[in-house]
Amino acid sequence: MKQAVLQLPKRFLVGRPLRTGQLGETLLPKKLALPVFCSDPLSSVAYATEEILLALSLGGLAMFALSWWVGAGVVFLLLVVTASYRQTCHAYPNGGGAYAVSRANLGENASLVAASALLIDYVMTVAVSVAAGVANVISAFPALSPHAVAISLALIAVLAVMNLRGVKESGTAFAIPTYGFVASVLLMLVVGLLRVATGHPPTAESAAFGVRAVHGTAGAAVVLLAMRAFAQGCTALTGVEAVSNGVPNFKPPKSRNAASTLTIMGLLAVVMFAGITVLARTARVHLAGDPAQLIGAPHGYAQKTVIAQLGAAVFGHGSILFFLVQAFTAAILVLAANTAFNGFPILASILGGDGYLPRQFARRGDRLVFSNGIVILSLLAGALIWAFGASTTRLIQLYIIGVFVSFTLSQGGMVRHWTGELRRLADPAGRRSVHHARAINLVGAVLTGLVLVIVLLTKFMHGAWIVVVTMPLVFLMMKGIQRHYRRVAAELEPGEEGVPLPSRIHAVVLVSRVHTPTLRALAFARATRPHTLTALSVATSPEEADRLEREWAERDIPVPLTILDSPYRDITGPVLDYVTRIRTRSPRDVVCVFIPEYVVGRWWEHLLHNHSALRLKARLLFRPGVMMTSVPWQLGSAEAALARHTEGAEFAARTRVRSGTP
Amino acid sequence: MEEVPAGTAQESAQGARGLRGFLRRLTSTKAELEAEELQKTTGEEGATPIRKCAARRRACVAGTLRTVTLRPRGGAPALEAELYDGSDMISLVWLGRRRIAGIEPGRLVRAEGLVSVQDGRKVMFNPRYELRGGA
Repeated sequence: MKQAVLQLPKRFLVGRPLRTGQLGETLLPKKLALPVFCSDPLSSVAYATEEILLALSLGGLAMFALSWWVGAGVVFLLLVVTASYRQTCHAYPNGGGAYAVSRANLGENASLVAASALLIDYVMTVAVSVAAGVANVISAFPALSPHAVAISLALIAVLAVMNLRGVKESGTAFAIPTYGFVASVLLMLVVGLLRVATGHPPTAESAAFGVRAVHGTAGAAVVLLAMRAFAQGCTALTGVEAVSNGVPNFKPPKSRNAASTLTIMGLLAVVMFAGITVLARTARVHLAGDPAQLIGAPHGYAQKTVIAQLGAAVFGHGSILFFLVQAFTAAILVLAANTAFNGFPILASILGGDGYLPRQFARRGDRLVFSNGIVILSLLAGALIWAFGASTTRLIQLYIIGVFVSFTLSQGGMVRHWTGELRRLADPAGRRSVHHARAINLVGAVLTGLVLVIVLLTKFMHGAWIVVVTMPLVFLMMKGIQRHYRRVAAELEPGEEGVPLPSRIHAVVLVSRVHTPTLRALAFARATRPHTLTALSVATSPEEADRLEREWAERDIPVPLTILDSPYRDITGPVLDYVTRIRTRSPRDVVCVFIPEYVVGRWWEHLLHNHSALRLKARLLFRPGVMMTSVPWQLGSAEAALARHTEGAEFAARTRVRSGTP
Repeated sequence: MEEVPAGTAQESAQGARGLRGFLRRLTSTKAELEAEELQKTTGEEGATPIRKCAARRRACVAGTLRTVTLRPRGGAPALEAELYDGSDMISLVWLGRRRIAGIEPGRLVRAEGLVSVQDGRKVMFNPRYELRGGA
């Protein structure tokens, strides 16, 4: 009954459990792989420009002119990283995530750094994407803004449940929002740029606002500001590694297809990002980190996302196309969060299999997905969103560090990989192409490393220190877990001669009163034929001991009954003492303690029974050379509970007949 | 409830005064407390501490019965009890008896008889016994 009640909502939400045999590999063609793996990098276009503008707004209106340069820097970086990851696709056709690459080339510690960066990053991806998606929904429906956190948490819960059901990354579900987003953004860019060309440039609703500077704009301060804006804009690069992780899921030729998908993704991202940045500049979208900085904004003005402002400026506020752009943007952002739901559980399962995380992460749940990873991921992301009030800008400060740590490590690993190849290869043509690949990865590694430093420098005080502190903690945790598993494994390793046979077995049956469960335990203990057999009872009061003695004699039970004195009235102590004495007398022997136990059917009955037995069991567990045998006695309520299960009813009826109980 | 080595229990019996003794009384385990009390009775009864009993000598011991074992009918009738006096344990065996009124766990007993050693355990067969006080 209890089970059924617990199972019902789970069945309803998660669905029927699947057999292991139903685990199928579906291979993706390029046109489906693009939405499945690239929703994350494509979606980050939706907020990258905005983050650049927000960072620049600190320096006042004039600083927005820098957005061109910052945007160009990000585009360049995006191209380099895409080119670098194309090499990884070719070199690691079995999936070359940062963890796998650095484990193969840079050793255990580097791979764990990459893994901890990635784990944190996946959590951030969920938090940032969902927060950004909700921000776009709110831009379309400003009335919802007080409920941002609640909506975000609900979305994460929906994503978690969907993933627990195991949406077989069905391409179409991903394809519609992704292609819809790409198409609508491109349409918006084309229409917008056409209007610029025809002399009717679109104007954002915030074009008239001024922005008050809160940051110095003299000399070095400008460079610092530009660097900070650049660091913010690097969010456009997140998720690029998803493709190289997923190479095994591509249709053959896998590496070729993955590399071309990566190229398409890179080009699309560059075009969309550059277009949005240009359009935002020409439409004079003005944003500020703090609404109080805006000069001339009406009272109670809620800032809208760049995409929302552009959509409204180009298509007109409230038009169908505007809502379409918003809807697709929100959809792809949520889908991007889903990318992390694919990545995190798989990475956690690999780490669990390698012994760096609890083994449970490597186990598949009812629906053949790594449920534990999914649950942990959604809990962590939910906690982050809650702690940061679902603010994209504040969350994004924590975001990019992990991405660039894993970028740098995996690119560095690739450089090592190619160097190794060079040592192996002899023919000049092959060597030339490897040299070429190594150069690309080297540039990638150096650049991403540089960006990592910039990101660290500019964001450290704005919240990035949280990640800087967390990453070593995760790293140490994984090392600690692995050390523990190794130590346990070494301890459990059987020796040369195995385990000696116990020379004798001393059976002890715990008795409190002479009743059927006791008699059954005694009968069972006698049937196991131990070397010695004693019934043990603790005299908490003389009257009870006396009664037990008398009943024992009357029933003529052929087992010696030992009654222990308990000067302090506890039951556990004297029994432990007695068992220990048998052990010290004959250390090679084994003591087997038979404990008669009631099995009850209702929860409150647990409160009334078995307490001393449970306590004793817990204590005896720590004694070496002591085995415990529970002799269960199913009370009427337990049988009734069994009968309440439809599948158990027949079984219960059969056992009742067999055991001869009425 | 472990048996306490005689040395420590005696020390605690002597040093029971002053701040040190107070602290020890606070921190000592139940087993130590019990051993201490029992050793006091040994002295009062004028008996030998079991630890000091040698094999093949008559001795007089006093303490409480820790366990009493009833043998089932069928085998040779015997009643076995273990006596603990705070220093050591000795088995008292009454051959030919299945039950003796008053020989029950927790009872304070004074026993006199020949001490023998079997498998490293001290045993006294058919001791002369006195039931002392209550439990």
